[in-house]
Amino acid sequence: MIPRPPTSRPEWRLPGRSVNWEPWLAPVGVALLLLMLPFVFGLGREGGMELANFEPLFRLSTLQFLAFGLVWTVSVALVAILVSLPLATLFALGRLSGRGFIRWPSIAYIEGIRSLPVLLLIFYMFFRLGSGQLPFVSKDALAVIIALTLYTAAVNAEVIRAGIVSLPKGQFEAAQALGMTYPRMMQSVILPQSFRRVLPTLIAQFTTVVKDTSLGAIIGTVELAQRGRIVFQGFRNPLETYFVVAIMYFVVNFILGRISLRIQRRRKTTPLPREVQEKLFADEMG
Amino acid sequence: MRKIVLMVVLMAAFIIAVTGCTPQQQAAVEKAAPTVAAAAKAAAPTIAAAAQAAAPTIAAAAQAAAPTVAAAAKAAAPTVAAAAGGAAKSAGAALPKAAEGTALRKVQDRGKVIVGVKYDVPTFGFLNPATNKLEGFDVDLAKGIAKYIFGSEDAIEFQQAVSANRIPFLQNDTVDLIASTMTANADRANQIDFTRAYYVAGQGLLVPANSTITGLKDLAGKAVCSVTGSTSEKNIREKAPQANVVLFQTYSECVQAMDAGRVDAVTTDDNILLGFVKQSPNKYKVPDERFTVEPYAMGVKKGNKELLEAVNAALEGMIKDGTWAALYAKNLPGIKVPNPPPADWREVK
Repeated sequence: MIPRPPTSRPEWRLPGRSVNWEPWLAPVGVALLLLMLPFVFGLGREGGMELANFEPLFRLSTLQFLAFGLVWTVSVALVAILVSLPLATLFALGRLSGRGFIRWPSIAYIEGIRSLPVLLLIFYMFFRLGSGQLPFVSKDALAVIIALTLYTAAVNAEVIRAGIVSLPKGQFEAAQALGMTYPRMMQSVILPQSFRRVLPTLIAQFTTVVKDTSLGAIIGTVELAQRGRIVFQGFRNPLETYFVVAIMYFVVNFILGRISLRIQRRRKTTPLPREVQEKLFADEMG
Repeated sequence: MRKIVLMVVLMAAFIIAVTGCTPQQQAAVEKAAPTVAAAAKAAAPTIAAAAQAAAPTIAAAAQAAAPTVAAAAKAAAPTVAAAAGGAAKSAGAALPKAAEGTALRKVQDRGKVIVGVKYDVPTFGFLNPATNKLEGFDVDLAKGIAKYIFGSEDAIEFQQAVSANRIPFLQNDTVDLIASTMTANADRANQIDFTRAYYVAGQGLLVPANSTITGLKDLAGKAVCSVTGSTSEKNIREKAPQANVVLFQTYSECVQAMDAGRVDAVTTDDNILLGFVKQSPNKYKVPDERFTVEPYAMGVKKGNKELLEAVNAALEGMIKDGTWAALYAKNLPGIKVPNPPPADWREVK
């Protein structure tokens, strides 16, 4: 009988064992912190939050009103994230390309868009779209989607490029030695590995996208944060409303993080057979 | 995996199409999805009932007040309406089509007018969280304008206009008309064209309903609350030097302090104060005196003469037939409906 290894390194995790609680500890801590925040901000103290002010926020009509904003925010962010990822990959590859006519436009795009404030991009896109009506999407939503997509693509292109150049040279050489074409090499050797390396940074950028949808207020979108502002105009409870809205953002971003982690785990290579694991472990333990 | 991604994208696109739209369109969606609508209705019967109960009395009060005001308006400004072609149109029917190529014709061809309003000012333009519908003085007047142009209050689309974007919205043709608590002044008049004034905001006082304070003259030695660094603070120090000015960060805190008896009055623009009155009409009142003057007017893109005339004629018509007074009483409770402001905002005193 071999004892359970002391490390939590995934390659040592023997299949078919108990649930790993470790990834859940951080979110539980954050949730507890969030629950404590009202007291930090003076729940019950004069000028601070008051329990009674939470009551109107939990009426069905108010929750429904906020939920419209939440759905808007989530769907706009989702589209921006999904569209920006392939774009970012293309620009990352473009920037690494040996051909000048591909490399230079990619560099110009990345450096140009990345240095602009998202707020300006949104404002500009909205007025670029003109005054006409669009068939499926409202114009302000589309402006936010385009601006966030372009911006996220530029930022993530650099992240993905960092992932690619961080790979050992041997990976490229091995792929070439096997006679792989460039697309084949990128698709099955280079990109999967680099994505795995930069996934945490990508997720961080994605949560920024969710939060940046609130900038749409400048062109008159009625998203979650703006709906929060509208709500407390009526009930006069800004602290409490912002608190509830903050929790909604937290939940969305938390779920986003979980989904990404799940993808990360699934993209891992399948675990080695038990006999091999045990042998490797025995070898390492001496 | 690819199929899943595709499905997610399609679903997201659908959700955006639904939620990215205006409240009116949302209402249409709710109609199409009966369960959602039913849930919403089940959620807010008490509110609706309360509103229904409150409405007749307000309407009745407004009707009672209207005739005198209407009579005054008739005497005051008949010329503008005539000049704007108001006489050529019978009540309830759509406006005859304007000449090809004008902004008004474009609006008429589109079949609805797009109006920029505030969504977060309870008395003027407010997306009510309880009903998910827009309400307020600006919103109601805009509906009246749609009725004048198209013969139907529903031929209108609202767009949220915040102070930072409303003038670009006009210049870019994103909206046809701005009705968003905008003070008409010479600086803005260089960039857009203003309609006639429809409301005169001014700094006023909010006092408890049983208070004896009626204006600046009663403030000597009393504690008056305002917000740190606001123009209201500057004004009250100038106009009532003997008053004891107390400062807080927000007006809500001021009102709380007044509830606790620590200050005797709160001062700022009257539409903010009236928001407090609207919420608790039995607790507060706003005395009639105003000590600054800010005429609110709607705006159209510079040079859209026909549209400007149509809006002016619509406003003039609403002032004449008492609609303006009724809407004023409905949205700004707690004060006497004043005489309509003069047609030219420059003449507002």
